[in-house]
Amino acid sequence: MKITASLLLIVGWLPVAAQKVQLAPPLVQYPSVFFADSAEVSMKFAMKGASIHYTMDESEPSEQSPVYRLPIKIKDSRTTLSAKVFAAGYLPSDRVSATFIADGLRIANAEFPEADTRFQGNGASTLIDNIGGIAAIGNKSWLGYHDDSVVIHVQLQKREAVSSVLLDFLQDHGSWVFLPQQVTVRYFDESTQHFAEFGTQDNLNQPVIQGAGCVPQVIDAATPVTTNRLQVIIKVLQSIPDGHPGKGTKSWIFIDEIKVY
Amino acid sequence: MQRREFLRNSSLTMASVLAVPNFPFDDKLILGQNKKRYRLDTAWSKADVSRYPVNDCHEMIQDKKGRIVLLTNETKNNVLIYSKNGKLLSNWGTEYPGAHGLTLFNENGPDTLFICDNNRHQVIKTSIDGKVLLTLNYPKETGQYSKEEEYVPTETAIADNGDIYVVDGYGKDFVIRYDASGKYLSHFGGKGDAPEQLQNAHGICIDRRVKNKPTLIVTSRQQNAFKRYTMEGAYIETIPMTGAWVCRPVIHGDYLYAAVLQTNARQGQQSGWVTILDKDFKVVSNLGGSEPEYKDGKIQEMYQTVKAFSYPHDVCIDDEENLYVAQWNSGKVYPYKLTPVR
Repeated sequence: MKITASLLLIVGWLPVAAQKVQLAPPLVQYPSVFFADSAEVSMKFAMKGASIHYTMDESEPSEQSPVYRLPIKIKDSRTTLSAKVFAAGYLPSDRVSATFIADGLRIANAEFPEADTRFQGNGASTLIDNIGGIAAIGNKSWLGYHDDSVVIHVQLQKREAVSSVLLDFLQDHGSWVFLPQQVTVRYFDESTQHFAEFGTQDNLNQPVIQGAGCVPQVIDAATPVTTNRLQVIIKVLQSIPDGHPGKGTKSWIFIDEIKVY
Repeated sequence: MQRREFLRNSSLTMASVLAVPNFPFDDKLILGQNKKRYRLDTAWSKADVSRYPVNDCHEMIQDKKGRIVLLTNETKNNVLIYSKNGKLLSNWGTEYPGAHGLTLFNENGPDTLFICDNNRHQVIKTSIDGKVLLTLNYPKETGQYSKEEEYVPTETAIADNGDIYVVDGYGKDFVIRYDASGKYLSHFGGKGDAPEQLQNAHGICIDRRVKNKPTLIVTSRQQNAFKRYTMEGAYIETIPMTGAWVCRPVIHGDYLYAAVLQTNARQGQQSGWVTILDKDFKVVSNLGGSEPEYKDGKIQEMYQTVKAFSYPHDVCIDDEENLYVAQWNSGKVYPYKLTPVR
C-alpha cells in the first residue's frame, strides 16, 4: 500500500521517477574574488563517498572533470571556477561558480556617495581594496543604495589609456537587490576640459531569479581613451518587474569593487 | 517566524517563498555520523492535509501520555496532537496567528503548554487541551519597551520551581524571567555585540545534565552560536556553531539537539539540517550536514550536504529516541520522523 501511494505521489509531484535525494553544493571558500597576483580558492564537502568535480573554463562540471583535492591557485583574470558534488545514490548538486578578477590600472581613489547606514562597506577605499565578491547581503564589503542614482568619481594614479571599466554588483532578488537599470561611464577629456561619453551598459530585461550572486559588469569604450578621471553614473532600477513581490517599486543596488583596464 | 523579519536578515529567494520540497524521496535514506545516525521517514504524518492543513510547522513536544504535539501558525488548527506512529488524534487552537514557541511543563500533575505568539506579542500558558491558564503581556517592567509591537517572544523555558524564562528573539533579544505566577523578576541579554549579548535569541532551554547545577542555554542564531548563562542570568560561555543558523536547543539524555534553519554560506536556499552535540558541547552528528570537524579545538564551518530538509525549525526527541523535525516555509509539509540506526 505504502509503495503504491509513494509512486502515485511521485507521478503527481515530480517529472522524474527517481526517488534519490539531491546533494547540496560544495562550500567554496576564498577571501576575495579580486586579486593582485593570484587568488587561492578552497572547496569543502565533508561527506563520505562524495567528491567535488570542477572546471575552470565555464563548462558544466561532470564526473569526468578533475576532482578537487588541494586549494586552487588562479592567476588569469576573469577565470570562472565551477564546481559540483557527486556521490553514488544521490542526485548531483547544483553548480556553484565564482569569477576571479585581477587588478587593472592603478586607481588613486574611488569616491562614492553616502550609502545606506546598514550597508556602509569597509571605509573610504571600499571600492578599490581588492576585497569583495562574496554573494551575501550581510557581508561588510558591500555598499548598498536605495537612491535613484549613484555617481562614483574615479581618479587614476596617472593619465593613461583606458579601454574598459568593471563594476562588481550583487544580484539578490529575494532581498530586492537588482542590477542597475543602466550604467554610464564618462571620462575627463584633457583637450576639451569636459567629461565625455566613455560607454554605457543597459540591464533592461532582468527576469526574476533565485539565489544571490555577484555580477561583474564590464563597460567597454568604443575606442580606448587617455584620461586619469572617470565618472560612473549608476541608475538604480526604478520599477521591479512582474513576478516579484516588490513589482513596480524601486530596487536596491549593491556594489563592492571597481576596476579599470 | 516572521517572513518580513527574515527578509531583513538574509537573502530569502523567490523560489523558497514558493518552495516545493524535494519529496517523497528514498525512505531508506540514512543521515548523520558517528553514533548518532538516523533513518528518514518523510511520510510519518498520516493526517488528511485537506482537513488539517499546516502553514509553518514551528515546534513540537512530547507530552506525558507519549503524544507528539505540533504547533503551527495555521489558525484552522494551531495545535495538532499525534500518536508516535503518525496518527492524528486531536487538534485545537484558532487564536494563535503568530504561534511560534511551544514548551511543555509538568507541574507534578497535568501537563501545561507555554505558547509564544509573535503576532499577539504574548506568552500564553494553556492546559494540554487548550484552556488558557495565564497570559503574559510585553514586559513593561524591564523599562526596555515602549509598546507591545517591540516585543516578539520566540521561546520559553520553565525551571523546576516554575520560573518562566522568555526570549524575545525577534524583538530586543532580552531574556526575561518571571515567577510561576507571571510576576516579573529580572531580565538580561539584549541585542548587541558583547559576549553576554544576543542577536536573534531564537530559543532557550534549561540544561539539567550536571546534577544540581542547572544552567540556561540560549540561541544567538544570527551569530551562529549558543550561549550559556546561570539561572540568574550571569554569562558563562559561548558555544560557536559556525555556519549553522541554529534554532532552539533541545536536551534529551546526554545530548543537545537543534534544528539548523539554514547554512550561513547559502542563505535563502533551503539549506537547513539537524545538529547533535554531546554533553561537552561537541558537535557529534549533522543530519543532512557536513561531518563535524574540529581543528585546534575550534569547530570548522558547517554546511548542508544532503538536501533532506529545507528550513528545519525544531526537533523533538521522544522516549524511544526517535526524532521529529518541524519545518518553516517548506511547502507546508508535515513533520518528518527519524528513527535511530543502531
